Amino acid sequence: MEVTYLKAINQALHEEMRRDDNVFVMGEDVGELGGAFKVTEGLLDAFGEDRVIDTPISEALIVGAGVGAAMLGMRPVLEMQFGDFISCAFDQIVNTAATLRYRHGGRASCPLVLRAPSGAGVHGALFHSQNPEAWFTRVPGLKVVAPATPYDAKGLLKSAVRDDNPVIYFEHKRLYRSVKEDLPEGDFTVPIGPAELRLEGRDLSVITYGGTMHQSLDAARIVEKEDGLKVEVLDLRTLLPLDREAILATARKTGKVLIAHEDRLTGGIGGEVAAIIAEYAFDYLDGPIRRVAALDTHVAFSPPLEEYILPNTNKIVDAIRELAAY
Amino acid sequence: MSIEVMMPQMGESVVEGTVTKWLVKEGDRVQEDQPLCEISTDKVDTEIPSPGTGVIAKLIAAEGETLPIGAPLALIEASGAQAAGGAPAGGRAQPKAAPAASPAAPGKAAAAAGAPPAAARPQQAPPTLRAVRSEPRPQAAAAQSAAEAPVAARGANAPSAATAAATAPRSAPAGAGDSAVAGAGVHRRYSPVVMRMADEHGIDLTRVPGTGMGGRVSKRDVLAYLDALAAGQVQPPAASGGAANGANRQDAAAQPSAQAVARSDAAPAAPRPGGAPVGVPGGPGYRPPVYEPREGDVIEPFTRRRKLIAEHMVYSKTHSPHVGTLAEVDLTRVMRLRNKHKDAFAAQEGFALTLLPLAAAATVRALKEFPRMNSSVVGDSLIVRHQVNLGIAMDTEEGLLVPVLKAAEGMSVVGLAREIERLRRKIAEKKIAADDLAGGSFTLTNPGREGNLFGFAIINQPQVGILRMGEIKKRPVVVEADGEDTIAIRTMMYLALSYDHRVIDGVLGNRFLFRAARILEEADFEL
Repeated sequence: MEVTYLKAINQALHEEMRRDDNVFVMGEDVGELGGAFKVTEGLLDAFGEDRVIDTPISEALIVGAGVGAAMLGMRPVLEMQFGDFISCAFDQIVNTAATLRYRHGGRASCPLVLRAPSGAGVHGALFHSQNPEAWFTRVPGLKVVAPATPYDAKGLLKSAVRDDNPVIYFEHKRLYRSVKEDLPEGDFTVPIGPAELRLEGRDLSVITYGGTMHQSLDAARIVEKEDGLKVEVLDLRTLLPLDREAILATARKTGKVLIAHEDRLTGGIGGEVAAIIAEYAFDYLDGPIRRVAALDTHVAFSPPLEEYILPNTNKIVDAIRELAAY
Repeated sequence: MSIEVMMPQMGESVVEGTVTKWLVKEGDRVQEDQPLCEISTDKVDTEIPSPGTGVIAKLIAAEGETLPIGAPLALIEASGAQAAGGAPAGGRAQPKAAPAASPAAPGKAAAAAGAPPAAARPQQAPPTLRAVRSEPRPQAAAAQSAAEAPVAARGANAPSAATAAATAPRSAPAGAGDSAVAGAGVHRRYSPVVMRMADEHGIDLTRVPGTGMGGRVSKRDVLAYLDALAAGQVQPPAASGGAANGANRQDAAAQPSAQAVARSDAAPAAPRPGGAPVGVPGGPGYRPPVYEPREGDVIEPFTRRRKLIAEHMVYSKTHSPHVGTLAEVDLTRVMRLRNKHKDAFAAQEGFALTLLPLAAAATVRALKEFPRMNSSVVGDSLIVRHQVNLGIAMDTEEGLLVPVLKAAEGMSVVGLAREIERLRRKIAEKKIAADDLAGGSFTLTNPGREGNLFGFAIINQPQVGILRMGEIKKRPVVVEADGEDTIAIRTMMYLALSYDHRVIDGVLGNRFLFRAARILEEADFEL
């Protein structure tokens, strides 16, 4: 049965809460309303208000309470209503959750999941369009995932719930209802860590994740049809830790790498990916490592400006063509 | 294994040193720490101890040569176990070199070769990176970085040792005379993967046609070339000195590089069998020293026109072998003709009659007699033009312009004079159009009269010749009058022809110039 990205997340929550009584959901409007995007719809009816908790508008409180619960053996799934406001909980995430295991010599863990609806392209302007993943991809103790497909959305969320470390789960708002997929019946997980080769190619690699994964696939199809280029598309899926083997394998295979992400260019994970390639696959490079990313500014409300600022399929097509011709 | 002896770092602010005296010669056996040569800098004079035991394979630096820190001075062919000491010893050759080189075991030389020694300031001593030459890959990488790094060589007669050394190995296996196969000069920088593949397969990249941006050789091009090699569609270059077989390749490559470095004048290096010719555009060899700002310097960025002129001139000089031929022209008669008509001409036309339209008329007539001079080179063909479109070089504020007198063969001297004047006005009024400048089939240039005895102009491509007028001067010359030789005072000018020897041979060039000069001398023009 075809399932949307949003429904896949909802299914994962239902199934994990059924599987393990320690799993509970907490966040702003996650209960009565079923979440601002209806991701948590039906959970309150199914599991009751002890396990589906509406909180005050305080991200620091949500994460702080979650850390406490996680320490005591619960498995909280916390929602930031918009990933943009995850910065309000920054200290709880970076200084508390991420360091807990280290501070206790490995004898404590913090098995929480922080769901952060992120991403632009939905005319959400500055406060509802951010891709804040790069603030966390350099914090030891955290894991960061960013699924692009319903299958990964479901499988990665399940892995995140079962993981004994704090996992930040970035779900892309634009994908909620725009991508659908047949999901297998029964329980399955997607491991945190490995990237997935979405398209095999020869001429050039696009390394991407999240929203731009689909744009990269579209771009690859366009240049295959119009230019005869075989583009390889690698979906990172997990941003911390990065799948270095997969990154290096595709870079070595094609020798030309384009990195596409919706996060801003400067300081985005693309820089780290580029550095890994430059460091370990230099002898295989046949051109400069290129990046397509959001401009280094805030996402504007004006639709033409929003389009100008964000990466899209056409921009990726252009970059592929340029790099292929190099 | 070869050990490279390098110009050591001798002090914080010392960037170069001069080899004052070699204490050993090629073929000498040397012991580790034995003094090899004396070096003088503006701070210290010192002796360089041998970094290892072996035989001096090559003295790269000449006595009196000033080289940047890190530049190779000599190569020692290390013997037996000493070879293992090559890398560490190489480090020791520079007293203050980074420890990076010292702990390197031979097998790990790559690491040492890749790590920049702290003592060598990158901008001054790129070649220090190459401690050992045994591993192909790091060497290729180092060569690349050396080629890209700014060069510290001071002055024109210290061509960058680093660059020469870095580029020479790449072209070493080239077959003689075929360096231009892939359009030499278009692409000289190769991506890491291309360098590595060239190394692995022992192929000469100058033979690989590039289809990338600006003619770059891409990985795909190398793969296509390898396929073509395998299919027998292209011939591998003739192996020279074992250049194409594996382990020897590096050493063979080192030879020409050493040679190139040893030359301190820009003259072509000694015979290099199989090597790419020195001085090929974009080829190995000289690169100008890095600019050092001095007080009062004024930087004038090229205007677009200046850039176009520069590119055109370089293209012309590198693509067509110019031959210069000089004729002496007695202008007495033609100047007399001009003087006779100049007042009437000025009154009627409103501008002065100069020698230029008369010289143009003589040129056009000579071109009609020798139509092959009125031609273009297009690809592998010479296209002889029927119509004479004579370009006249004119100096403007922004640089040289060459407006064209279209269908000049149908014009009288007055017609030519009017057309020249019309174009000159257009230039002065900045109204000259692209059409006025296009389509020339031959060019005449008259770059000012004073201080210009004669000179040879650069051919305006794709034309095959250009005439250049020299200074007009009264000179005593021997003339024959009534069967007697006498010395007379005549108005003389040198007329110089540059022609393209790809398509014009000496006899034709000479005959054309002689005719042009004679027509002008005879002054048989209607005014």
